Amino acid sequence: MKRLLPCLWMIALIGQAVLAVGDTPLVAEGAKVIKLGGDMKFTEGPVWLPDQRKLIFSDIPNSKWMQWTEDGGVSVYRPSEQANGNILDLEGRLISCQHLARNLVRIEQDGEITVLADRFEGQRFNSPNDVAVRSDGTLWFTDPPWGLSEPGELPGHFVFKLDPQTGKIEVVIDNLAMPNGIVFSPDETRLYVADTGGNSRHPDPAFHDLPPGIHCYEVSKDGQLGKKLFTIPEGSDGLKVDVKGNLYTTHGNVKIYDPAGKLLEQIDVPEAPANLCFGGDDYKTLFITARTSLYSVRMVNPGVKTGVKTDAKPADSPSPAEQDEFEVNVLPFFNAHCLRCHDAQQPQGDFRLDTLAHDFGSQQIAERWAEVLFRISSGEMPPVTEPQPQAAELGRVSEWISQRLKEGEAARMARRGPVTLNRLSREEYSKTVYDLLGVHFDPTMPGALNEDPRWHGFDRIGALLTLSPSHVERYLKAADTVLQQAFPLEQPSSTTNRQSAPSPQRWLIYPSLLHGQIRIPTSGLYRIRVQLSGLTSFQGRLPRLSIWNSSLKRPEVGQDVLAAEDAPTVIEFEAYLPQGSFQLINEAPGKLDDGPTPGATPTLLTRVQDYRPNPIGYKLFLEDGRSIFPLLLVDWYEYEGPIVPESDLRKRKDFFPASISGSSASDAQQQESQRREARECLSRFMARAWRRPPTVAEVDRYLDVFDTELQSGENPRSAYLSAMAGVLTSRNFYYVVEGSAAAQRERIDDWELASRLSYFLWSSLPDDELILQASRGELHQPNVLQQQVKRMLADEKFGRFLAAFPQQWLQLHRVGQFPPDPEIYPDYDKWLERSMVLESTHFFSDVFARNASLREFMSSDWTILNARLAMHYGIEFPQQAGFHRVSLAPRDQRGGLLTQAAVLSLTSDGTRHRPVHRGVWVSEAIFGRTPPPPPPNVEPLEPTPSDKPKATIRDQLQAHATHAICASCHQKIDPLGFAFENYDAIGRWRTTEKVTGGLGDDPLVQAGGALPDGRTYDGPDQFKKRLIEDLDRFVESFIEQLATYALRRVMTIDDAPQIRAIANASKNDDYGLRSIIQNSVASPLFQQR
Amino acid sequence: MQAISRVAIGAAMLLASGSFALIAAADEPVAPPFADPSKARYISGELVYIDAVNRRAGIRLDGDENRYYTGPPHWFALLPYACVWHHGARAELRDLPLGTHVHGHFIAPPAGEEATIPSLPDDKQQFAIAENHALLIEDDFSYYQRRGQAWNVVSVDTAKEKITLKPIALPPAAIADAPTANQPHAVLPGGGQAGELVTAGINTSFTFDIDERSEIWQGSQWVELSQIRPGDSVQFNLTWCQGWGQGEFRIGRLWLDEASRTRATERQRQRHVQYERERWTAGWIDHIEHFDYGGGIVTLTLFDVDPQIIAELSQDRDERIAVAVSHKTRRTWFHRADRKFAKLVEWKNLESPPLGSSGVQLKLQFVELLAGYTPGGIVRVKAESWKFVSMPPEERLTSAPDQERANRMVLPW
Repeated sequence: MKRLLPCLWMIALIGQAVLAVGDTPLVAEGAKVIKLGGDMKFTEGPVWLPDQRKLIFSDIPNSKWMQWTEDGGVSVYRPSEQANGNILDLEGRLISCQHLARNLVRIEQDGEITVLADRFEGQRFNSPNDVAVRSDGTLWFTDPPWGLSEPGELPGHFVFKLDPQTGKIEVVIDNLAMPNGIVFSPDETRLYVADTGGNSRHPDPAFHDLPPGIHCYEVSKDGQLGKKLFTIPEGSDGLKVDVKGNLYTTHGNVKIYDPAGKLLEQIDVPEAPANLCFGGDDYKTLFITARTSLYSVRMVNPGVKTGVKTDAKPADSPSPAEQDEFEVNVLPFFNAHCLRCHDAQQPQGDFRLDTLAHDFGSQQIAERWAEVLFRISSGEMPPVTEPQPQAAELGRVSEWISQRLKEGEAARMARRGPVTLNRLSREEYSKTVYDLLGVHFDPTMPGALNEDPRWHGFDRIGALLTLSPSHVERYLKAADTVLQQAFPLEQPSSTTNRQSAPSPQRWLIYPSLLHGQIRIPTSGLYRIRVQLSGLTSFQGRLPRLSIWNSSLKRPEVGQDVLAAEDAPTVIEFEAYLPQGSFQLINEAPGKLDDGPTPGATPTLLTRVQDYRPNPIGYKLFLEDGRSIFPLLLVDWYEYEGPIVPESDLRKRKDFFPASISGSSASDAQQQESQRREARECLSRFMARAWRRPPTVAEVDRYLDVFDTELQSGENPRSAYLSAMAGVLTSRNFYYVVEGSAAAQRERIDDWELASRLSYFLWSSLPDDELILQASRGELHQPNVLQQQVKRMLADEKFGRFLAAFPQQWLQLHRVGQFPPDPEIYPDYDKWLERSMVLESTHFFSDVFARNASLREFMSSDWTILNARLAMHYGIEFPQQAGFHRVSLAPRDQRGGLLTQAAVLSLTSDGTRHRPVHRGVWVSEAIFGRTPPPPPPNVEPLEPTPSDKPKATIRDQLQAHATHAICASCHQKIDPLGFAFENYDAIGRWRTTEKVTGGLGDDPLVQAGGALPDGRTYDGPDQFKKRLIEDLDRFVESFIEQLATYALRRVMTIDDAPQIRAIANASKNDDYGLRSIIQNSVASPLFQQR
Repeated sequence: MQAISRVAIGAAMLLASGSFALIAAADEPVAPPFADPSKARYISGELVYIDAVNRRAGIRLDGDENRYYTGPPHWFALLPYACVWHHGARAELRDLPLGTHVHGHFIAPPAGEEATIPSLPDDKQQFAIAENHALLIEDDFSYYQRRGQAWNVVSVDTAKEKITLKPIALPPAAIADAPTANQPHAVLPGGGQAGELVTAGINTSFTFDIDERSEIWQGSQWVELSQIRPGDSVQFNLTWCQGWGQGEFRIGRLWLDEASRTRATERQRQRHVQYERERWTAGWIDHIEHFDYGGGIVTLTLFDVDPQIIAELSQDRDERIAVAVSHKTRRTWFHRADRKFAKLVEWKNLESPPLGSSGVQLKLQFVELLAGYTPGGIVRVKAESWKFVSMPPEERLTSAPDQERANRMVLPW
């Protein structure tokens, strides 16, 4: 979005003229009117969005909604049709009066605009000006002709009341000249409407000379307007009220009146204000739109909030009883133990307690209170160096916070929109397309689908998966690609090609050498066979044959090979290969590609013992004849395809009408028959693709595409494919939709449950069985659900979960993000990197298969290795290809997830390990808590000077983190990383740390420490034991991660009780992984919106 | 000759034949040792044939009248680490003009090198000399001077074209060059201690032919015969004369004073240094520790070379060091490209290095190894500051057949 101003918002302190008339000033002490932005045309309609901590306001002549945030300043939000007044409805959606469009609109959660009303009894509005919302959801708005450039259609300038649920609209006030600002009192017993006074534009001359005034009307409990109570003889534009019922008006300056209409205070603003609203976390910031600029000033009283469905009294305004309890039980505690460090003077960790609002209906504020509760309950706060609270007072404060959190839960839940739209990740898109049509679509290919942003490793968090024009464009392209593959004009015929070495010679493939040419003309499934021998290196390393994608520079599929020179074997791969060129490669470490040397190295031999090396080629054999490298000796290779399995063809067969081809229908009857069949197939396709039955109107809509294409001259096949493409590019396909606009639901229905279940366990759409259960409306029944889960866990598609979830939970995408420096780690290679990740995912699978306890994630006497990884760990491993379970001895220094190479190396920076990052990872993945980020401008660690003794990174960190601000976080984070000092940057065991520079020998590592709760450990094994002592905590954190993955959202304090319940239910099975998954699905949390 | 391990045999066979033969596994393959100079055979004669590219030559032996009239030259090859001295400085065979009288120390061919110098024809077998691999070749200037022997002019008869010279022992301080550890006269047959006359070569008064062809050097000038004065302390390089078979020689070159000798030595030394920089200094591989992911640690010993080369290499020791595969003839392929770079891991100065060794042993870490890096294999090593220079094409090995051809001398006649 274009910014009108530089990033830093302009602050101009302006001399404030405040005339306090009442006894108590309403402007906060010392506060000044501050300019937040300028250079606009005419600003109006400010409204505060609490969840986004953002102000939205209008720049009317520029036809823009603008936004302001503390970090970003003023910028454009989106275009409008001369929006004027804005408000939030009870669901937190923006309601706006638009001058140019002469309507009242609502911006939905997905950004679409719904016109709520644009006429009354068939006659168009003048130009709706400002709007207020009542707690019954009705919208009351004024309709003067300020935005009208032609005569209006209505006979007057009315105040309307609209019920968005029913669409009913009625006139509530018809006798004002130019109604403008409008607002309810906090208890909604009064309505204030400003009239700027007589105007010749009024169709009735009787209104031409009326005086300006701010009118106060009575409002009954059922929302009926009563008599006028009084008039303040002043004009005004926008109006607002604070929690005390004081009225804030805008006319020349800001004037504040008490509920009786008595002037209390005036605030001068450099430009004439047009409107105002309260905002900020505590709603005590008064935002003022004034001509070309936006201003703010801090007030004493908070304003009344909108967008919250509560009792008439605003939620953030504590009741007298609540206020008493806070002042008696909580405030003294804060004064004694907290405010010294968490107030305006020096907010430690940027956390202020003095201004933390009591709005427990706001998710954000509630989460901050939950953090306070956690910190004081766990003993983290106050710091041990400060006076400690008594148990009783701590208990009272904890109780107060917990109670308020509980009470606010309903408000928080109500805040959520009726419909949630979560976009599929690209991985889910790919799996869905395969299960739907039997087509392999690789979303990671260049130009395919955009990479999804991650939240702590999870790539399916709905709030992060936004939609941009780029996404839409790629979905269009993807749909075309997929459909062309699914329904080609002509099914490509499968061919077989073979290349053989000139017998009796064999091709010698040393590491990193690319050999041969496999040309794939059409993307698809291919079978590749190779006859070869695989010779280990003299140190026992196995060679690995892979099929290398020449353009993308990556292996597509591969296998370790162990076959004696005189006993070759035939290996076979079946893999999806995109169109392009491929080669054979020996994927072993060793980059042998310098200059002319590869060209000088003979790569044909008959027998190893007869090999004649070229002195200026690579040295491949030792003097005693053993192979230096793992080598491949290839006799021939062949590739066959594209292969289209029957199972893939079956998936799509019901979706394409048999009667439709590339030729037009011969007659009307055939045309009608085609159309009928098209409707049936399309309907089936839509139901499957959208995971729910489509409505007739929806099918008609896509059938119209078919008709339109035909009419424009397309052949029936293309026309039908266009309709199918439309289905695949509908949001109903690539969004998981939960909820309905018509009514706010707290539970998902059976169709939504089927999708949620299948995307959780299969990363794809529901199968026929799930659909059947959903259609019967029985899926939510516990026994049916349990049965389905059991079935799904046994399906091979569940392997997708076993691969995807651990990758995301453990953030394994970070493995290799900083490629290890080949000078320091010369034998690190890509296959090792992939093997590391595979160890972790195989490990996870094994724990699931045995329903083993989550305890084994902390510590185990086994793991799953292949030869490459065993070599890396220095563990004995029989010479064999593939991954196998191995038992571990204590001397192996492994076991569990935490000492797996993938986990240890994903936090490294390519040259060294990073203990603090390791600590952060443990905190996130194991404890589910993300430590705060470091402050800016932290000095990096310096290398050891040459005249000083060598020091470990730990020593340097401990010297570095002596500053109080640093120490407070580091003492909690660092011990979680220091436990693994015995493992280097790529996860190898060590007892000394290699230090370049400095004097003396490399220092010994120290892997002891103390956890934040005081328990000590000495080395990784003891650390794991400590974690197991706290197993309950880990289990809850794990379930939270599982729920995040399943529900596509971050868990909140409101989910905590259910998560605890799942953990308790799983305790009987000793926290078996399978049991936890089953209990999670059975939990009410899983069916909660 | 010392026993050489089976592995070394295998390695040498690799070098010789260009083919790979399975060798029985050895624990620690090491390079063959330098030859024991005390066991070398002294042979002197005149260079009548030089194959500068392959470092092979033929000398007409001194004073064997029968051989002079009917026998062939003695054909020989320089060992890879052989030293050549000319004008008192290190040299290559190509620096010695044809016709220079030289003193050589020879050994029988090392194992695997027996075929390098072809056998003489059957009818010439009686002239065969087993010791056909040279350890050290020196011209007269270098030979006598380094052994502390000079010559006094007794008389010059320009009409009769004769000059009589009497050998004198130089005081120890006058013995030029050579570090203490590398004074061949101390260990080689025929060499005496400092201050004594040689026991091989000419160690009595002798009358040589001299005429207008003889180059007489004084200071920085080439002067006339008439400049020779009785009493001058001189050095000479001898050459052929008609009385060769009777043990007669002609003066090829004569240096009348210290200035001319110093100048000649320095000029030759510079030529040698520049030669080493362009072709890179030679050595052989003692040991390799291989990594099965590529590269390894190679330990190599540099052959005897001027100290300036060692100093330049040492100055660049923290830079990358290029190592090209070489051959027993010290030839390379296209060493500008067929080399790998390494980082220095350790620089060792060996105590009392044998003849042929510089005493410098380097341990280098490579990311890639060439097939020619084998224990005992010859390599050429370049300091980073030396400019790359492409050698003339005839010096390069270009193929396996080319290497085959280079493995053996072809007798010119």
